[in-house]
Order: sequence, then structure tokens, then C-alpha cells
Amino acid sequence: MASIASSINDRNEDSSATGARRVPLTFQQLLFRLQSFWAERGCVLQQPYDVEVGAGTMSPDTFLRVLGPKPINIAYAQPSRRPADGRYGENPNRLFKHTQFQVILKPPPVNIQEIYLESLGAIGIDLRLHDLKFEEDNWESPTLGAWGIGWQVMLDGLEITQFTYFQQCGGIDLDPLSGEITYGLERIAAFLQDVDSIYDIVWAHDAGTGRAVTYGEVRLPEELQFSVYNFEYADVEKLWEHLRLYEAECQSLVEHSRHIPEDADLATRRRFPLLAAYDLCLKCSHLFNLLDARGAISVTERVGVIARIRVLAVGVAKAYVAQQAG
Amino acid sequence: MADFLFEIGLEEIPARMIAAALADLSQRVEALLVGERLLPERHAAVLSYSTPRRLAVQVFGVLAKQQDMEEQLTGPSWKIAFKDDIPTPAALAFAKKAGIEASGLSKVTNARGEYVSATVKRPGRTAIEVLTALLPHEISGIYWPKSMYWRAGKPERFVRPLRWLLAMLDGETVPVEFAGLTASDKSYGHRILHGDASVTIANAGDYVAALEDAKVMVSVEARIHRIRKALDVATRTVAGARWREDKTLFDTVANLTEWPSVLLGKFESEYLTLPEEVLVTVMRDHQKYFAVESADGKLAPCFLAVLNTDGDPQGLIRHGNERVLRARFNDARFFWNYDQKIKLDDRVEMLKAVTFQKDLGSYHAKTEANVRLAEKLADTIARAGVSHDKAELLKAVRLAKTDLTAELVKEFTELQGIVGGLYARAQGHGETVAQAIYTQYMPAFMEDSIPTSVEGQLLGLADRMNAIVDMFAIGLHPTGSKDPFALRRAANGVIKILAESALPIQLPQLRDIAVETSRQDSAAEASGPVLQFLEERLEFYLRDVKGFAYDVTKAVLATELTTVPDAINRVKALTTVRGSEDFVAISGAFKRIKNILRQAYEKGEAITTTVDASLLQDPAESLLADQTAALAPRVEALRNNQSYKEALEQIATLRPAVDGFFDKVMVMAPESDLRRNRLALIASVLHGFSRIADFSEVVES
Repeated sequence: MASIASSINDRNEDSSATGARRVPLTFQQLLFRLQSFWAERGCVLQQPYDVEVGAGTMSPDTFLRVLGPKPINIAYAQPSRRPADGRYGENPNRLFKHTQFQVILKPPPVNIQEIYLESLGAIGIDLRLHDLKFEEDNWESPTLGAWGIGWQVMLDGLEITQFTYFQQCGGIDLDPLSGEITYGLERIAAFLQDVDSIYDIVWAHDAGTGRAVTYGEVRLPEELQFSVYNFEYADVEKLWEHLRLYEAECQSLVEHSRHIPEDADLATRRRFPLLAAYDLCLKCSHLFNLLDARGAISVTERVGVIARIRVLAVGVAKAYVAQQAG
Repeated sequence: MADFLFEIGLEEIPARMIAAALADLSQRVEALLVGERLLPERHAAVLSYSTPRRLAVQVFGVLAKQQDMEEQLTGPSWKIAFKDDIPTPAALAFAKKAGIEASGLSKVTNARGEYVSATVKRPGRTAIEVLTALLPHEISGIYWPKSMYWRAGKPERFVRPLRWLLAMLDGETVPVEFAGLTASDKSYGHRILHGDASVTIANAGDYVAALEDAKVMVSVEARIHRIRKALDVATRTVAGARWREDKTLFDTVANLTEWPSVLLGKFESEYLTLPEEVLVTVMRDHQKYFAVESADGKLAPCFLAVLNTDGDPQGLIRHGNERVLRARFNDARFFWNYDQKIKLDDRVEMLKAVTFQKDLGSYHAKTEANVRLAEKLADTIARAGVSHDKAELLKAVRLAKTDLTAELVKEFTELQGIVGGLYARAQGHGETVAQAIYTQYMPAFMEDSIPTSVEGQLLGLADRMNAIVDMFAIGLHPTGSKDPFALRRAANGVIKILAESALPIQLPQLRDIAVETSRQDSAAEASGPVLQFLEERLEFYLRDVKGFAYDVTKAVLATELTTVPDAINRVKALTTVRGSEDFVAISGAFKRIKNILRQAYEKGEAITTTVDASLLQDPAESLLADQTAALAPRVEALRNNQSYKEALEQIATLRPAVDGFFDKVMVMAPESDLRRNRLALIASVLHGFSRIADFSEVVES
């Protein structure tokens, strides 16, 4: 098992000039630290995906890469939109859009938990001074036909990470499996900086003046305006219409992919735009979330719409596996 | 004799699964050792240990080696095996199978004749050989409610990835292999307090002490003891305070820690204005904290967190936990205040948007059905003179489901009903309405209490009975292990409410009201199945919850269904008298009567209960007829008075007459008029005395 001793030692190079007192990481330093930590451990650093997603898991860098036999270690920050969670910027703990830091290790190394604990050391958490527990929490996404087994990692009573061994994705049983580590960056930053409101998190310090730029300054207008749109202005009929359009286009691509002749050459198979089909599926998922936030989906309809999107996700996943194998 | 230690090390096991898995493993190892003759049938207790990261068993007095055994194998008959003392191919084949030379075969004589026999020596294997070969099978056999794959190629499933195996016989390693691991003499200590260095166990007996040094208390009992004491100590810092006992929470925190300690945290007293139920749910269910109460029994503004570490030197852990709790309470308060903007009365309409079941419609429709049902139930008990407030009842039924639209319930689903009750009180609906709404889902499980008020009981009955009838009507009744709408639990609740309340409602009557008030087209067709379903749940209640004997329960349920307390009284009475000699004889006689009547019926005899006194020839049949006629009204009077024990004792006095009758009289007489009269006589005995219970169901003990 890997040693975590090195990480337990304080290596907070951001200590202020006065030296003795530790200054907690800013929001952006937190991101830098996690990125360099995982880059040093062999992860490809990817940029956030540029289509709306509800979680880092939905990025194709997770959803598609966990499929098939090809190993990958990848990490990225993913702004995640959950329209129903918006609170007009008034609730100190809830956001329409929060930031996940997502790590996929495929296959998971035997010391994955120890490496994860090291990463906590890297962001300035001295585990000897805290209480850490891995509590059962299995993850499931009916929309993606995906589920996994794992824990929520609790630090001093706060859930700071979701840790999952993916078992199935897009309705396909995985082999090899992937380990997924999802850090909730806002929560961790608020914890490190000991602030009661997410909006008080220090995002960065102005290099010239040393003035703190807060999370609220950077993001509050976005939280407010998107809450207003999601809850009040989003046109339900148009959302349904968009959903139908994206669904139809995704379906027709998936359908098309099924009719690529068995004996088609590799180049023909490889150029078929399944990645684009997956984007369309993500669009549908986001529209569903918007309709949900708008209160436009009854409990009965809910199951049906989720099933429609799952059909798309499963269709893309199947075709993608075949394409990779080809 | 040696000590055996076996430890499975893995990534954190879900707390709820540890106890059962440990019992399973311990029983498997014990059975394996006994079955392999490595442990005497009578042996010292097998000790077992667990933490979130390990399951372990320790067995004392294990034999180092199995005893050599001799086994006698019997082969073909001697005549076939040897012709003129020369072994035939049959003898050679048998010898080969037994692994000896044909010259080593001997002759045995048994009941069937002379046979060939072979004595086979089976050298005992060492404990290490046996355990190495057989333990992997036991590891993979442990039952887990949910398991996973983790290795490429998916060779095995387990609850979480296995990380190490330790197996030792005294000081020697037993190289058990499973999931790509080979057992060694190394274990691991507390993740943080001890770190990653392995812990070498020199001898199987050193396990507990060695891990204690590595900051792991492997005994669950020891951890529970330590947590209990630590809770006491921490609570003592608050004058007059006590922590609230919570068995489930205790098990959870003990199974979440390897080296537990306790800290006392505080929250601002302003949150105490939130209802206690909300505060306790947040603390217990969401944060796994113990609640603290002050001397007056009210909630104190403190909590107790059980940590998986040895202290909080800088106060960071306390600070962090307080911060999380404050945020959670803030959320709850936000939802509470937000919910007050829309009164429960105005939420009734909002229930149209909340689906109860897709074919049954919304909770609004369900509420209307509940109101119809509750109204009839109220009229029924009113006729029986049970006092209640009908207007308040119907108000409670109308508002009962409105909390499903409240943000607080969406956040804390386990508080549905309770939140509705609290809101009703806060909005001035009065105690009767608030209590009924608050307690509508009670009993939530068999040991739970029932609603205290008549209004609460009626609401609970109406809600459940409507769900049962409507679901049955659209074909969604439970089948086998499938019961997606938890109708069995609903019916258990119905039975328990009826059993423990004073409501004078008979089961068939309850069913009728529920069917009449249902708006489902096929409700009437569900009538029979629903009553049968209720009867099954009553049987379950009497047998599995109340512990009455199977046959006694069946005997009572074979008669007409009345109220649940009445069925209980009859089962009780029958249980008391069933042992008496006279009663055993009577129940035997009733079985005989039933058989005779059945056979006669099959032969085409017309059976009545009208006895013609002029046809009674034998004094024995006259005596039975007279006694039956005299006894019947007495028994009936006692039955009407619900003096079931006395009634049954009276019936038992019929024994001499019944015995005399069967001694002297042949029922199936050749003369048809005599025969018919005697059949009528025994039929009148059977019918006259089987209204409390069908004695023929009682099994002789």
C-alpha cells in the first residue's frame, strides 16, 4: 500500500509571508492542487465538457470512456447544472450550478483509497486532525442506465466526496471496471476556508492589491438569472419541443449506426458521429431537468421521460462499444 | 491443539451489513472445522470480530491434523467376485476403485448374504492443508445483500474489494488464496492513527492485543462499551443533561468506527424553535448524532458525534460538525418558513398534481376516497356508541396528504405525516386534527404503537383500506415476494389497529365499506380476495406476532370472521382449554363426525340437523340428543357473552355422552330412517358447537 505519510505533512506552500499561520486555499488554488495532484499520478487532464451536464459522470470523458476494454486515467473539473437546485442565490448552501472535480481510474489501482486520502493531504487537510469515514452510498443514474457501488466520504460530518466503483454504464456491464472519485469543490472550499456561505468563498486574490475576489462576485448573477429563467421564464412548450427535436436527431443517428454494413472498413466505422449523438442525448437530459424544475413533469410522466432518455444513452453506449471494437 | 485466526481485510463494508456477514462467516468456519474433524463437536466458543475494514474469527483447540481413518467399503457379492477363489473382473474393478490389491479383499456376511469388502486407509490431512483448500469456498459463500466486481475479468463478487487475508494456525501461516490474495501473518491498523504499515501477528492468540496497539478495537462489544462510556462522560459536561438511547444508531456508529471516541457539539438555541422531530431527524438520520435532552426531557442545544479517531485536540472536528449541522438546520428552518406561506387547506388542490398511482390517479382523488370511507366508518362506530368527533375526523382526512406538497417533506421524506400534523397544529386546526394527521402512518412496523385517538385510528384504517381495495381492483395485489406497494404492511397495520383499539368494526364490514366507497370499476370483484388477504394477515398477526399455535389459529379462522379482538379472545380461550383430556377427546370426536358426514355426503346421503326423537332407539343416542339440546342454549349464551373459555369448558362436558354414543351406536345403520336420524344428530352436535372454533383443526399434542 502506498504511503500517505508524505501527504500528512503540511506542504502548504501558499502560507502567507508571515509564515506561521496557514492560509487556506482559494477556490482556484483548490482546483490547481487537485489537477496537479492527479496529473502527477498519471491522469490526463481534460477541460470541462462544453455541453450542459448535471454531473461530471455525464461528460463523455466518463460516460463513454468507462465503456470497453481501453484503460484510461483522466481528471477534469465539471461545472454541473441542476436547475431544480437553484435558489436565486439566496440559499448559502445550494446552487443551480456547482463544480465537481471528477477522476476516473480505469482499472482502479488496488491502493485507490490511499491515493485518494493523499489527495486530501495535498489540498491542506491534515487527516490526523479530522474525523474521516467511508459510509455506504451507492450511485445510480436511471437516465444513463448506470450504477455503481461505493461510499460518500465524510469529513467531520461533511460529505466531501462521492467514491464509486462503476459496475454498469449505458446498460452495459463494465469490464474492466472504473473507479470514480467526485469531489464537491464548493463544499470543500467552504470547509477549508471555514465560511458558512458558498458565496463567501474566496475564489482568488488580486495579485496586485491582495484583495479577495469572492465566489459571489464571480457567480451570483449567474445563480440569480438562471434561477429566474429555470423557474419562471423557460417556455415549457418550447422545452418539450426542443426535447423532441434533440431526441429525434439522436435516435436517427443511433438508428443509422445500426445500419452500417458488417463488412464496412474501419475508417467508415470510426468516422460515424456517435460522439455527436451523445451530445444530443445530453441535451435531452438537460431539457428534462429544466422541465422538471419548471414543475412541468408529473410523477407519472417522469418515469416515462427518463426511460426515453435512457433508450438514447443505452443506444449510444452500445454503438460506441461496437465502434471501439471494430 | 492450536488456535486458528482468520481475518478478511477489505475496503469499508456498509455498516448495516457487518453483523449478519460476520455471523455467517463465523458459522461457516466453525462448521468447516467440525465437519473436517479438526474441531470436536463440543468445543470452546468461536470468537468473532469486525470493524468496517475487517471480519475475523478466532477458534481455539483446533487439531493440527485430522485423525487417520479406516473405511470399510462393500463391493459385489462374493459369488460374483470370485469364481473358484479366482478374482473376476468385477472383483478387480472394485479393488482398483478402493485402491488396494485384489488379494487384500475380504469376505463379509450381512443380512443379504456374503459380500466382498475392502478396508481403505484414509490418512488424515493437516489443518493447514484442509483450510487452505476449503476456506476460499466459505469466503465466497458469505451472503451480502449487495455486492460488486472490482477486478479485471470479474472473477469474483464481494461486498467491497478485498485488500488482505490473514490466516494463522498458532504461529504458522495458512496460505489461503482468494481474489488474487494469499493469506499471510499481516494485518493492517487504523488508516490514520496507525497508517499504512502492516501489523505482524506473531501468534493467532495475539490478534486482539496486536490490533489494539495499531489503534483498532476489533471487538464490536468493546467499541459499544467504549462509546457508551464516552457518551456519558461527554454529556456530563452539560448540567442535568442525558443522551437519548438509540439502539439502531448505536449499531451504526459502532460499525462505522475502528477506534471510537465521542465529542459534544453545540448548536444555537434559536433552532430549538423548530419542532423536535425535525431536529432529531437531521441529527440522527442525516448526521448520525445522538440527541441530548435536559433534565426536563426537552431537547438540549447539543449533540454527540461518534468519531473514528482518538480525539479532537484542536477542536477542528467539533467546529466542522457544528458547521454542517447549522447548515442543515438552516435549510430545515428555511423550508419550514417557506411552507407556512401556503396553508394546508390550500394545498388540498395541489394534491391533484401529485400522483398516487398512475391508474388510480392523484392524491387528491385518493383523499376523496379516504373521506368517503372514513365517513362510513365514523357512522358505523357511532351506531355502536363509540364517541368521536366526526367533523374533526373528516377535516383530518382531507388534510392528511397535503404535506406531500411541502418542501420540508420533500427534503425529509421520513417525516411525512408528522410534518402534516405539526403544520396543522401551527395553523390552528386543533389538537384532534393535528394528532390524527401526525399519527396516520402508525404503526409503521409491528412493534410500533397505533394512533392514540379514535380519529387517528379511523384515518389510518381508511387510508390503508382504500389503498388495498383499489390496488386489488386494478390487479396490483401482492404476489409471492413481490409487494411493490407494501400492501402487506398496510394490512398488518389495519389488523394491529383493530386488535389494539376498541373499534367495534368487523373485518367483513370494513371490507364492505372499503369496496362500496371505492370508485374502481372492479372493486366488487376484489371483495373476496381482499377479505382473504385480511384473513391471511390476521393469521400472521395471531401466529407470528402474538405467538399462538398454528392449529388453534386455524381452528378459529375456520369459523365466521368477526372483529379482530373477538378472534383473539377465542384463540386465547382455545389455547387455555386445548390441553384438557376431555377437550382432546371432544376434538377427536369432532374430527370423526366430520369424516363420517363427509363420507355420507359423498355417498349421496341427505344431511339435515333435524333430529326425530321417536327414532332414537339406543339409550346412548337419546342421551346425546338430550344433552346436546340442553347444552346448546347454554353454550350459545356464553358465546354471545364472549365467555369463550366457559363455553368451551361446557362443550367438553359433552364428552361422556359422545364417547358413549360412538361406543354403542352405529351411525351408518342399514335402516335408512335410523341412519338419516343419526347423521342428523351428529351434524347437530357439530354445527351447534363449532361456532367458536372448528375443533377438528386442533392437532393432538
